[in-house]
Amino acid sequence: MDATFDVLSPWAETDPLPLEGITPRVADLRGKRIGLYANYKRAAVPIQNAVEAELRSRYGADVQIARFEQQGSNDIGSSDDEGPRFAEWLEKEVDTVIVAVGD
Amino acid sequence: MYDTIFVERHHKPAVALVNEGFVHDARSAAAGKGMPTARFVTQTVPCECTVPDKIQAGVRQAMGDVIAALTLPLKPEEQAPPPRPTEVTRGSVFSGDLLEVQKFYYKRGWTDGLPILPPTREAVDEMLRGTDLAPDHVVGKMLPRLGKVTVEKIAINGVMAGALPTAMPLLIASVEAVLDPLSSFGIFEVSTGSWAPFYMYNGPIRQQLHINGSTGALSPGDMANATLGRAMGLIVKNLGGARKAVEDMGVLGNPAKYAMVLGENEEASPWEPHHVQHGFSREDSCVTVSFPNSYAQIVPRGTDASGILETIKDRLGPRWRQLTLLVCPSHAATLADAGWTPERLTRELECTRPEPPATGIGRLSGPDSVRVLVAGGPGAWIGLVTGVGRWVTTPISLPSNWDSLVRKYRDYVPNYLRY
Repeated sequence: MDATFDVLSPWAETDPLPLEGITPRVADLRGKRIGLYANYKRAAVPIQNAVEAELRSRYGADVQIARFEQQGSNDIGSSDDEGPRFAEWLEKEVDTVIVAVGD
Repeated sequence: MYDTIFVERHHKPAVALVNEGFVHDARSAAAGKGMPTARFVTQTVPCECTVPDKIQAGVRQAMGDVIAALTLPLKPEEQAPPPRPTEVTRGSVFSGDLLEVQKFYYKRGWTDGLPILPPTREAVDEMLRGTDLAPDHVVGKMLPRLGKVTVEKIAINGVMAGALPTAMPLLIASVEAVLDPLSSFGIFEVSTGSWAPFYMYNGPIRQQLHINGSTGALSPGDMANATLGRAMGLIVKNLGGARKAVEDMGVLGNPAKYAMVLGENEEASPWEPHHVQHGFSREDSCVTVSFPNSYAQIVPRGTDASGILETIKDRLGPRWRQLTLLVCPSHAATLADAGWTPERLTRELECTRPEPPATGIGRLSGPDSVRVLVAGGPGAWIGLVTGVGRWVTTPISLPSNWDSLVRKYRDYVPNYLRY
């Protein structure tokens, strides 16, 4: 075991990634449109059903709830059909979003 | 977290509900997309849960945190995340004896748990003789980190795996196949389903490099089979950045992630080789990659064509969407004598597939869900390799010094028959 080895890294370089902050929050959920997004995994919609029930029990009619369900993408932003549909939903129907992915 | 970040980039505040076992995965995904402070809340709903009471209880428990995540003002670091420390990826990163190197690499998470050969400058330079491409040529960027897969990094991981320089053209082609969007590698590699890459080689290169497609093709003992698969596993881990329990969330894992490699037994096949069936010439050498998660072996109740086929049909699962059928030479000859070809077998099996139950998981994806390969040695077993994706076949490009390189390493063949 006396031989000495100068060894190279197997780890990959990556391009520099600019970091982004997140969007400022809403002050209160009352009076807001809350988007419930469910991906394609089978627990996602039931989870959002439970979220909706919880929101109603806490806020009653003081919140509006909008639902979005997608059918098969792990990254909706890269989906040619669902991406634009989701973007339009975000722009027109919600103020804030809860995301459920089913795992 | 990708979908959460999409929401944030459309200027809507968001929070993700994340199973408590996926916290590291969520942080890694957010950081990898450049938004490390994307908010998420852990919840206790089991993965893919279908039990309403558990779902309701888990959501109720998390709801206070969800509301807080949507309404609490941002901290300064959430508005302007600090830069991450950069990693050293070039030049010598360690100097030590063999055991010290093992420990260093293992503790950095750069191995597959087995000892590695030290990737010294000299060893990597020898490995690079297996390609005419420049060391800094970028074959592609590999998910989830979008790591740059350079020829040199392929060589480094190849050395670690114990691969010979003659493996380089196959490793480069295998990377190209994996990076093809049709492979859906980015989904399979990190999935809870533990899908493992299955590399099938065709063409003259199998004989040149002793890639086993005969007896025990999928068992340990063949340097080419073992090191090709192992090198690709290290490449996926170290260049793509899929770390177990962080990005790679395979629930049970899969031994095939060490190596699942074979060469089709073209010499014993009564049919055209797999790559010829799919548009290549017999003289081409190709790699085909798919991502199955299960492998079963069955013995037919009768070794006539009917017995073989009915046994296979009986074992078709209702949720299977991809089947690679490994037919041993004797069964291939029997089927061929009875007029069966891979194409006809494929049509027969696709028609026979039982209807899946209405689970919402997914149904048979239609044409091209079955491939037939001849593999294995004398015997009666049939292999069923099952998954849900597609096959991607890529040609292998050889360097200008190929013939001399093959001659130099042609004696790497076990001699255990002598005793």
